[in-house]
Amino acid sequence: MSNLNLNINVEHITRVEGHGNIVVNMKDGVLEKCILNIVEPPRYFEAMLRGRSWTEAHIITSRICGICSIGHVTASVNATEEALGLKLSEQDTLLRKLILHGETLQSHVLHIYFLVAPDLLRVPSVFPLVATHKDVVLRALRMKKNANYICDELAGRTIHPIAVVPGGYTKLPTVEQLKNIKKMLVDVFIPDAEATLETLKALAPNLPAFERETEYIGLVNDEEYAFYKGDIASTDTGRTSHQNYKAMTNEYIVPHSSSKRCKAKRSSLMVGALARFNLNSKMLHPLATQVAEALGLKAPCYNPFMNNVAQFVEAVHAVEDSLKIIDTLIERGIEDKPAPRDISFNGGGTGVGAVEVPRGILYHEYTYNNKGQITNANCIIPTGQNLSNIEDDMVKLVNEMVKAGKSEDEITFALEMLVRAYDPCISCSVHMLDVKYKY
Amino acid sequence: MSSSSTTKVISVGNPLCGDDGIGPAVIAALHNCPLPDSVSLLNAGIDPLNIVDELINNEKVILIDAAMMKGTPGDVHFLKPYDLKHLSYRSINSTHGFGVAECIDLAIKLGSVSDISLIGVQPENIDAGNQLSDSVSSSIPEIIEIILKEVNR
Repeated sequence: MSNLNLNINVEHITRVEGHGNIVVNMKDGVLEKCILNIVEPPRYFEAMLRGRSWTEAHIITSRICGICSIGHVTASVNATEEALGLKLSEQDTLLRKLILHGETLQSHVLHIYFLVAPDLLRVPSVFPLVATHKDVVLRALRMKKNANYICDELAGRTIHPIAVVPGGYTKLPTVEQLKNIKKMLVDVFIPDAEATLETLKALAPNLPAFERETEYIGLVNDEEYAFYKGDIASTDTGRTSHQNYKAMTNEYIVPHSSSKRCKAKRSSLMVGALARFNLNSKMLHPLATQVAEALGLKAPCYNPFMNNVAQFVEAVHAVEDSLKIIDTLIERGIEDKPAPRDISFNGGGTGVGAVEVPRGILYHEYTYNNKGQITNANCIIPTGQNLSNIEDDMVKLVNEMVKAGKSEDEITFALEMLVRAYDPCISCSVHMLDVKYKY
Repeated sequence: MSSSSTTKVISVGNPLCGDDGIGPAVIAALHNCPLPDSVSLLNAGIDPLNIVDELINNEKVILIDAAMMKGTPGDVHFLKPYDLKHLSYRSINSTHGFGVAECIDLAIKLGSVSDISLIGVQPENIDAGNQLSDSVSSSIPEIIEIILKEVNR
């Protein structure tokens, strides 16, 4: 094995959002290079926010991503509300959680069915599956559409929500709309999720049995499986306030990536569904707990490929939690109170929004002046936090597969699958302002 | 599936990327045009995957999108799905790699019963910005004429 050479260069990994390349060079059995090369151009969103009004930040940052725009808007309004001392009513908080669940469902369904399932069935995309698994493809499209429907009804648009603003909403849903969403979840989405469970039971054994323990970081709180708000928790160092997010990210740059990297206690950290599951699994609702058991997912889990199973467990939890929230809102009725427009800035201030979006914790921090304008902004995106972890996984995976005598093609396939397992959103993660390449 | 006759006019595109906003601009203009009751308008934004079921179950679907067709900016082409393969069509903005052409293909493979057409408009500029170029903007009356003719066909 010592004379083994590898020269893997996957330019533009498919079925991920944005552009990234896998580069692996092994010479005489020694791994010389094993990197995830991020080649997207910088986005400059933080610079765009400077000088902008408190009423505009969430509209601008929504455009960071077409998949997790609700997550960006939620982190943005949370940061603005904390900075300017705006309080949300319980009703409005419940609605924020419900909208966020809509996005979690949209994103997880898309990732599991359209981006990961082809790997597990060894086909290049979802298209060949139409001939062999037409009912599954139709189910996937139906689930995505129904998740979109939740966002449409509550946030005003499938993506790039318009109803969510600092301090509340421009338009609140009616009880009738909530009843319709409940009916869809009970009559259509849950049966589709039950069928998905059977599909995943058949496919999960195809997930590679690879393990590498790392530092798992996610939001936690004492009340629930945390998505909307909470302290930052690490499996290595415990809990800290969301305002200490910089100590849990420690951004740094590497020459081969236009996206910043993050680390905390170790050389890398993992955020996202698996990290959240490892930190919050005891808070799952009953059906989600059963689904995790049925699919063999147990905390702590150190297999990054199981992130996809954790995504489905979270989808089921999101449905259960949505039904609970909808029942509460229906029982109490909707108080239609518009969001505040004229507020006092009290000399400005700084606030941090930390929200669990499909791919992990998303941080937005804004500083406002006494006119309600942003003077400084910082956004740290989940994919950026995961990139070093993906590379550390790549190194261990390549070495193990070489040792097991696997071919270059098999190693290449496994590496692409590994990157996809993280559901990276590369265009989101790229926001570096000053990159100096060493070579 | 709906039992009554249905026609859906759907735009795809991002109005923040210059001429990629031609589809949404046409839909906005169509709101001021007299249309038969069986016709409904939809702006699908930047994720064509969301419209696959619309491509399956409506009687007639007319899509409007900016399309790189190696033509002169503002050129308007009325295309059928079988044309797409020959025109090396690619959608300009798509998330996770699902473009309009792929979604039409997916709908057909899933057994679409819809009569699908695509109005492709050659863009001049798709850089960031919320303005259409003059060449593309001036094609709107021609596009609307094609749509009105098609919905009344």
